[in-house]
This record gives sequence, structure tokens and C-alpha cells, in this order.
Amino acid sequence: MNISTVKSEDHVIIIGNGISGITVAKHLRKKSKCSISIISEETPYFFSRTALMYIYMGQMRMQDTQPYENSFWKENNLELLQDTVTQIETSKNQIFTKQNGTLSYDKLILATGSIPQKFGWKGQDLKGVTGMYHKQDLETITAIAQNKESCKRCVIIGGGLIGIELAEMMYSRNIPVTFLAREDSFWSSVLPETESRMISEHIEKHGIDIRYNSNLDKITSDTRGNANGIVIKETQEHIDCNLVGICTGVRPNIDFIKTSDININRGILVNEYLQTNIENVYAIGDCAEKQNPIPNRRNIESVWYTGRIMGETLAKTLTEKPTKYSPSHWFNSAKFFDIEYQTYGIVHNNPNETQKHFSWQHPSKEICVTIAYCPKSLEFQGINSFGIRMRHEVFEKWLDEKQKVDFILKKLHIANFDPEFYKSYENDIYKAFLSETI
Amino acid sequence: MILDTWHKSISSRGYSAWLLGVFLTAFYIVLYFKPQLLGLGNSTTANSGLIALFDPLSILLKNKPASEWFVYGTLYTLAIFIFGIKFIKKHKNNPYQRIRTYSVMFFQLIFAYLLPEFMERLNQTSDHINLPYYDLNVAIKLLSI
Repeated sequence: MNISTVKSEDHVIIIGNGISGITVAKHLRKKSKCSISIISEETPYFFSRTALMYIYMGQMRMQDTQPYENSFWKENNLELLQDTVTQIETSKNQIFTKQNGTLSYDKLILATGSIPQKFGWKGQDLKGVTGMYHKQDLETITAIAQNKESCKRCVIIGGGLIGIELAEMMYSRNIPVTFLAREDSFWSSVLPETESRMISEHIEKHGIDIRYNSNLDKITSDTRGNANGIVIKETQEHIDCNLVGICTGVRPNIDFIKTSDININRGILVNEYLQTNIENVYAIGDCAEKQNPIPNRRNIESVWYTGRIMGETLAKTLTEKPTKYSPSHWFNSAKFFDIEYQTYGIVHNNPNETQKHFSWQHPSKEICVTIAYCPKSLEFQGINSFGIRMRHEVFEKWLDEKQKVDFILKKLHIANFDPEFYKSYENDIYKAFLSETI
Repeated sequence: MILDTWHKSISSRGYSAWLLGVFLTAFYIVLYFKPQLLGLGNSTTANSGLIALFDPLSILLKNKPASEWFVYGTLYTLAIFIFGIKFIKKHKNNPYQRIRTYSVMFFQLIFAYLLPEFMERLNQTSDHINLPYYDLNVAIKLLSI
């Protein structure tokens, strides 16, 4: 399909002001004089979504999560509209909005992000049932879970990264938490057993009542439509609570696109240039679903930095030459209460015939490292690190160079990124590796 | 320790933070221009009020009644210790922050506070005239601000 660059008289409309939409807008502006409009339903200004929890915890204010001054957008001639897009009419190059009527575009970029995924539970739309994703979710949580007097308990459904954030938020205001996790230990669908068990213990140490192998049956309510409890499917146990956090993952935010001619599956289907089936319509970030999967990458990636890479890639396509989306090696990082987690490359939760694990755990502290490698070629495949900070660029390089596992372990100290005066464990780790393999 | 800066009036430029700020500024102005109002005595009258509270410590350290700058230095050192302990608790898992805070507390107590007082004491001899304006303690105290 034809891909044309943007002309200076063109009008580019971007739906979504998250990291993807804002990145593409910024990079378009650097290279082009085209007019750019960014539409968001959620907030007037771009903010850092991952910082939302810190507003509730009192470490930041909303304005602290906004990386640009409010004057930045006007100075750079980027039009911001807080509005809801109701429909897209690709044959006429138009979109329909609630407040600004019909808008025409030459190029349309969909960067609509995700919405919390719900699974049709009874009571899932009651007051006091919320995800932890949008600014509006934070407002709901702040209103209901003011303190432990007004909120007796919060039940969190789904043991993943967003669930643990919500648990930490509640912990900061001493609100009791019950956590329902589908797996038999925390996030064991992703983490190897030792790590998953260490994190489970760390969560329990914070007084979180975590229930494994537990699914949600239904959410119960009082007469005014407020959630007042949940029932666990397996045991039919009823747990009283005022807040129910749905943290069972996210799905692309594409409901308003279903009526258009744009092809969708779970997300908006795009080719390697992030172009949809309509020539002048593109999709980036969480809402985009790649038709031709990239090895070791999911078709739909809902992490912050891939949205940024997609935004940069698309801006290049639209201002210079068609550029394929090609992210480098997988990486991610998160925090489980006090334990920092980083991963580089691919580490499966279970070793198999194509992947072997070397695991090291500190005898008493909450520190552990898992290194994955190919059992035949001994090529390094990936690392999970808990409690030791590592350097991204070092692992990026080692993965590019296809280094062997013994090289990684011998040189591990080069990758250490802990602050000064931290005790280092690279020698212990290397010794353990040698004694295990010889 | 949970860091909830923006929930507390005292740490989010609220009412109590302004009140404390005005009080501390006023205290310093009075200390600087009118130490007599805080009870500073002269060659004929003994200290009274707030400054007299620091006499025992001052006599212990340098064998002289407290001056307004001795009061200031003591309170300053106390503040470094109270907030240092608070900071160490907050960063209990971070050796870098712990060590640097211990270092600040150590140098404030020994080098900026105690040593000048001891030096003054060692300088006191019966036939030596102590020049009242030659107050090494004040000079170092001002540097440490």
C-alpha cells in the first residue's frame, strides 16, 4: 500500500494524548509545518501514566506528572482538544466529536491506548468497581478510599503489575487489602518459581491478604448501587469491601472504531509501517495490533516505551521515508513494594528444551537473579533481576553480540547499576554458577 | 516510612508551613538584632530566659555562659540530628543515603560545633584577654549555613 509523507498544508489529527500520540506529534513538529490536532477524552494535557499512583500516595501532584509546561503546546503550534470522538468516516476523511463537531483530516493517527479488561462478572459496573489506569480511575479511588475509616477493605482482582500498584497505594493509607490471584503464587505466569515465591512472601509481609488459585465469581452491592463485597468462585466465600480494583489486564481502547471501515481484531490491525487498511490512517501504541508478529514480541504491546518507539517510527515514516517498526530486545521494569525488578531479553517462567535457567538467590535478603540461556549453544537469552539494578545498554549490547552465558556471569559486575556503597554480589553469583555447572 | 509530602500541610507549603517559616525568620531577626529580648545578659547581669537555658551546656563546653550564637549553633546542630535521623529512617534501604547523612551529622557535630567551642576553651588563660568579637564559633557557624 502507498505511504505518502505529510505536506505542510496537511491537517494531521491524533486521537489520544498518551506517550504514543505525544511522541509522534513532537517528532512530526520537528520536521514539518503541517497543522496538528491532538484529541483526548481523558485529560487536557499529557501526563505520565505510570506516576498516577504517586498522586494518591501524596508524593506528587497532578502537575508534577506533566512533563511539559502548559504553554509548550501553543508555543509549538500543537492544538489540544479535550473531546470525545464518536465516529470515524474514512471515506470522507472525517471524524465526529461530541463538542467540536465534524473535523477533517489528511492523515489520522489512532493512539487511543488501553482500557481495563473485564470478563462479564456480575456487578462489574457498580460504583466502587474500578481499574487503575485512567485519571478518572484515580479520582474514583481517591473518592472511595480516602482512609481506612471510609474504606474498610479493598479487593484487588488479578495478580499483575497494576494490581501490585493498587495494593501499594492502599497500603500507604493503611487500608486492608485482599488480593485474588489466579495463579498459585504471585505472577507465576511470567516469573520463574523462585522469584514468584520471593515476591509472594514480600507482599504477604506487608499484611496483604493474598488468595491464590482464586477467581472472582461476582461483586455484590448495597441498595444504592455501591459495591459492598465480592464472592470468590472456588470457595464461595464472601468478602466485605468498599472498593474493587479490576487489574486483570488491559485491552485496546477501540470500541468507537468498530463502526468504521478500519480493520480490527483485538486491536487496530496494522502492517509493519503501523498503517491500517486505510491508506492515510495509522495506529500506534497499546491500541495497535501487528498483523505480522515480530519474533519474541507480542502482537499487542502495552508498555510505555514501545508506544514511544512506535511514535518515533511513524513520525519518521511521515516525514522522511517509510520506516518499519522494529523494536530492539525486550526489556521492562517494575517495582513490587520495595523490590525493584528489571528484565532484559526473554526469560520464560519455566525452563524448557530451548531455555535453561541459572538462578541465584541471596540467603537472607530479598535479592535474586535468573539468567536464561540456550542449553545447546549456551547463548545468553535474558535476565531477570530483583534487588540489583542493571544497566540497560550493557544487556542490549550483550544480546546483540549473542554472548555466551559464562561470559555474562564473568562480566556481570559491568552491568551493575546500583548506587555507591551498595554491597555487590557478582562474585557470589559467579561462584554459585561455577559450582553448579562444573 | 511513607513519603506523603503533598498530603501534609507542613510539607506542601500549607498553613502550618508558612506559620513555621515566619516564626523561624522572626526568631533569627530577634536573635541577630535584639538578643536581649531572648535573655542575653551583659557584663553586669546574668543570662535569663531562653539563653539562660543553654548556660549549663555552654559552661560545660567552654567554661563561659551562653551567647546568642551558642544558642543558635546548638539548635542548628540539633536540627541536623533530628532531620538526619528522619532521613536515615526514610532511606533505610539505601546505604548511599545513610552514609552521606551520617557524614553530615558527624561534621556538623564535631567540626562545626564542638571543635570551635573546645578551641575557645583551650585559648582561655588567666593572663589572656579574650576579644569578644573574635568568636571563631560564629565564623564557622556562618560558613556551615
